[in-house]
Amino acid sequence: MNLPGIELLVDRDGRQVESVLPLVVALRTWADPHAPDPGLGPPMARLAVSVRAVNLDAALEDRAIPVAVVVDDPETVPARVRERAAVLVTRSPAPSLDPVSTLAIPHDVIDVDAHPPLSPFVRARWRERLGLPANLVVRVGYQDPWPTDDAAITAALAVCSAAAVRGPWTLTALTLGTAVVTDESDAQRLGARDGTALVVAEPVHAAARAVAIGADWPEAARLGHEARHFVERAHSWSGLARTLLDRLGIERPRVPYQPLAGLQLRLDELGTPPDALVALRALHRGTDVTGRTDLVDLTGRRR
Amino acid sequence: MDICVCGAQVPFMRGGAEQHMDNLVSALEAAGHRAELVRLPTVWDRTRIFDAALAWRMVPIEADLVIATNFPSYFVAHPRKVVWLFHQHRAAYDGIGGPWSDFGLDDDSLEAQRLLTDWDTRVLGEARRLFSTSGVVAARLARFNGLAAEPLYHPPPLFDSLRPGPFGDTVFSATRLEGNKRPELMVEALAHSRSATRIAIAGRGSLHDDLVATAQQLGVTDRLDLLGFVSDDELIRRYAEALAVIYAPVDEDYGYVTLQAFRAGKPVITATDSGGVLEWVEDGVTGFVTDGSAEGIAEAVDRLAADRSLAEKMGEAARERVANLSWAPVVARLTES
Repeated sequence: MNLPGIELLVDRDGRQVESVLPLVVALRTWADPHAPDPGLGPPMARLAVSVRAVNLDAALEDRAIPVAVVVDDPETVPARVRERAAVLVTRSPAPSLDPVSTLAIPHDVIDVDAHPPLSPFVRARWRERLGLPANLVVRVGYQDPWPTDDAAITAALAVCSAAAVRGPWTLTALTLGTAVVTDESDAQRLGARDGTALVVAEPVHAAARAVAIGADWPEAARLGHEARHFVERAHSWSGLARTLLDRLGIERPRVPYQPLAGLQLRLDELGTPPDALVALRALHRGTDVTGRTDLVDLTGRRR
Repeated sequence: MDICVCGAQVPFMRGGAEQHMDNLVSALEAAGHRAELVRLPTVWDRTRIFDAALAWRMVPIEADLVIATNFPSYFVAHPRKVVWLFHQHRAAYDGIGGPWSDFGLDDDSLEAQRLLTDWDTRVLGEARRLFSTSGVVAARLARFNGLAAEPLYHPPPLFDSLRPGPFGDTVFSATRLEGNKRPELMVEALAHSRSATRIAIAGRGSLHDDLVATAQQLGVTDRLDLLGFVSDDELIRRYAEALAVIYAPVDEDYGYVTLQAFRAGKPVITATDSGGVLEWVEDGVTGFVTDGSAEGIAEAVDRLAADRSLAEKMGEAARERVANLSWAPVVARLTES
């Protein structure tokens, strides 16, 4: 399938590549990131991994092909880059930068596939199975002793009715589709708005707010749904890759014309875990038809 | 516009949803559109429900607009998709614990339920507009998926043919004889009724023999008429000549029986847990909302049998309640997106 090509411009020492490697991997769902190769024809866009990337100046001169440039410090970006790059990709967003032409990579990026969302009803069913209270609210990061068992915290956030969370676990809770009450500082750090992906409350009131929300299924479901959507859009590599493509003006192919790749794309857009039975069955039915067994070749994904 | 109405197909089964889809297509055509009904087979067992959903996701549809109706047809991908939600896969949601649900508390069930909820939320959330057939369906969607839908009420089949008539001595119901419709309540109510009122039930289903046995056991066979399938003309006549209509299913999505009864100017006896029926039946005004027991239903029947003027007054209020139902505003809302 002819995915839009994105030419990667790297430093001579190659050290900067690792910092954007997850982004490049995520781009592979909709595009074909590749090293400069005249035999491939002109790319749809270029991605320079730093302002010192080889051939960046020449690339910036070519106004027909948009360039995204990864920058360490937006305040010290050379003028030629600031003026000519279509997108500045940075982990240090500055107020002086144009948000439309800047892709800010947040400090918290999470593996959304490893944290599937659970709705209030499914959580209630899990609590029923585990013999837990009907309305179970958990509190993480407040006055309580800091827990050390990561798996136990994740499990608690996955089955609770709602959670009062602050600190590093807030993003995990949001990813799991938990109805989250947090403080102003966490909301600002994550770039989330009060009342949409989460609820902001004074620490002294957080647990009570979470209890009320946990008892209100429609509200908990709405918050959880919006929380997951927010994380997928703003705190996952795939969401950041989508945004980068949009800002480069590259249309994401909706339905690749190779059948199994199309099937894979549909499974991805539905948020299907790689080991879900329906995904395995669908792809294996596909290989029955094609007579091939190497799903990596057919879908670009390892199964 | 060229409009595809999308709906699930369960081979060899035809009920309210199928009538609804056909009537929607007719209404769209009456409004000047070209409309086609597109259906894909599905099955309801837990292990295979995702296959049909994924199939819908892959189906290419060339149309100006698609209107998806029930699970899993709303998985169809189209840049201009409107969902008029009849129902989701209820066995995974509010039907949990019911005899028709195969979702338990085992690992596979819980993961299937999780994945289905996530898939539903995504594909319903991507629709340009999200409507539901009733407030009950909208409330379920808010509760289970956190999504807001606008109820869009439509007239039932035969709406233009149904007419009021004399209030006879028979209480009528038209319903499939299945567990979620609770037809046994009507048979048992006969045993508690002090009046000589008869009950006639039109419809077929797996509980037929059980109902006959129960009637024999209770000694009410002479007051019970199990009519089986009846023609449209017979249905219209039965509604017109009824004293009242009993309709007390479990958490109904919408309930054509209620609206047909109202159109025929008959009060409806229902139950507090009958779902969408309660959006229409106002206790003491357009019918009676009972506690759902056979005794409660019998008491309501006896009140109407003893006071026909009350039945007539309620019937008039009921007919007035549905007077404004029409397909034209429904079609306008669905196609304006």
